[in-house]
Amino acid sequence: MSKAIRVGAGQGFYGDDPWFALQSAKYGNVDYMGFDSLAELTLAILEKARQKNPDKGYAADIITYANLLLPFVKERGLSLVTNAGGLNPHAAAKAVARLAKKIDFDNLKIATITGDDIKGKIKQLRQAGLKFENLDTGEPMPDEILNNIIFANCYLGAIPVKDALDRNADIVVAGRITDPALFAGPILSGMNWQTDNLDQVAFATLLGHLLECGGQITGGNFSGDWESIPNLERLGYPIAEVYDDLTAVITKPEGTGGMVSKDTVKEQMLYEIHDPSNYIGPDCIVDITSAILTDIGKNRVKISGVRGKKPPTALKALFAYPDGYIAEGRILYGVPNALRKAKAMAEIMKKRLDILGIKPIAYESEFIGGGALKRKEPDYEPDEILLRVAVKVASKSEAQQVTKLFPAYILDGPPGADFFGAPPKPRQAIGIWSALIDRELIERDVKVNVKTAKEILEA
Amino acid sequence: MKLFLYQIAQVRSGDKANDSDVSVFAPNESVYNFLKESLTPAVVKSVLSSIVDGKVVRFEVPNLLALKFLLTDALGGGASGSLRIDNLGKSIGGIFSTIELELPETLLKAVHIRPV
Repeated sequence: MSKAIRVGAGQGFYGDDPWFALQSAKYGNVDYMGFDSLAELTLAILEKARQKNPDKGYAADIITYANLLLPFVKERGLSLVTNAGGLNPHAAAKAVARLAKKIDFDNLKIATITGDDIKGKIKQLRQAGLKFENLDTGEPMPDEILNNIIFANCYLGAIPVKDALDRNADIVVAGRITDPALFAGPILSGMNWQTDNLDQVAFATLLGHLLECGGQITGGNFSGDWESIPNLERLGYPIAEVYDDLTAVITKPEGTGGMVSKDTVKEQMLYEIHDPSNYIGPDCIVDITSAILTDIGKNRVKISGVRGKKPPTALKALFAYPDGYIAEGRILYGVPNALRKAKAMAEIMKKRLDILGIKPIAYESEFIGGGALKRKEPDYEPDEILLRVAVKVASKSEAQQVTKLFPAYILDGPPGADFFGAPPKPRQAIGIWSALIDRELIERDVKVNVKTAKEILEA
Repeated sequence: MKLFLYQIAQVRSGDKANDSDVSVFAPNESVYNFLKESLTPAVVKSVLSSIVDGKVVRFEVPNLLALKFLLTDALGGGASGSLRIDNLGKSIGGIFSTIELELPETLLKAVHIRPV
């Protein structure tokens, strides 16, 4: 246990609360922090923004977080890694550079990682013979999807992040890299680990996986004795203390709430990884079936025994395509017979759509408080039931029309109905097509650029 | 003793595309062995038949005393296009944890049983 670095989680998802990151920056003694801002839906929103304005297309969260944390970068040498670059890392870097200028930090070194966004070269890849076979079904991508792509991105790994940090970047602005890479990059760079040492890469990746969901490892979403987790109102986000003998300690900042124990860590360790002996990422395949967790102190859990296998020869790409629009309405019913009233209304709405000639692609009615999660109906009479109807239709105008049908049924339907707020605005449904692409075809276009804030603003 | 899974184990769910991914953690080795016998893919599929349209695949993770279940076609189409209120299946772990079990008396002493 000689050399150690501390890597903290700053953001678990787009729209997370930056207060948690600030606690780690202030009290966590962290060398690096990673921030996850991208979900599939976020990328779809960013693509629309980019089409309207070529200077947009990045996640606005980066402004909030950079404002809060750039002082720590300037004064304490903290390094930040984010995927908030979204579909336009260069524009995000420029926005960060402007913030740096405001605090007289012209020599802030900003790295951008590009090459994950493959929308511009789909046709070229197709002409080269790629069929983008669906990862689940093996079916080649049909033309109607190919010609209507909203966004297309390949998941890059930690190696370009390590590269940027090795070149002394203070903040790394990436697009679609895997969530663990936000932390694995700093660990590989900070520990000076080698990208061809599979156990080192696997350990860094697994630690990244433990950090990527923020408070989900420090007592949030804990399925054990959740009532025993203290002070969730000032939850601490996780920190990995990494040692060069391939061990690490998961902990959290002093004075924060939540809990780090073997029980909280193991829930995150297996979270969403499918086959635990083959957790596949761009940099390696991680085997956690030999991992060992040990409670070594209050809010300190030691990890060791993670093994790596050779990385796959292909990278995973996500292609998003329009899949109709979703309209939603909600009506609250009270006693007596709340559930029967809600069910009757769900049927009335179906017939109403029929009369208007609206043919839903899908129709879902849920009875909240009455078995909406599909386990079972209550065997007692609930005092109230919230009816939620979600309808998928082909066009935005139809979706808007459906949304407007609900308010009238406060008066025109079963009795005692309450208007449960305004109906949500119709939203576009996004279909996701996953495929594997030979990594050579992607990686030859991956670029890591490191420039100072001054250079970016003068360009 | 008849009880719910959540009284003796931790259960968390997550998502990937249209699949739900559920982890079950036993508090000790004897309960782990008991859960391995009890929570077969067939039992899980029958209990969650209203949610899982696809199949149930199970992985054993003895170093964490855990069982991992992959439930395919379980989210009504996947997060970004699903019409369900729980489009990410965050509640599926909880529903899974309401599976009823008959815990052998010999295991009672070795386990803390959480209240209903």
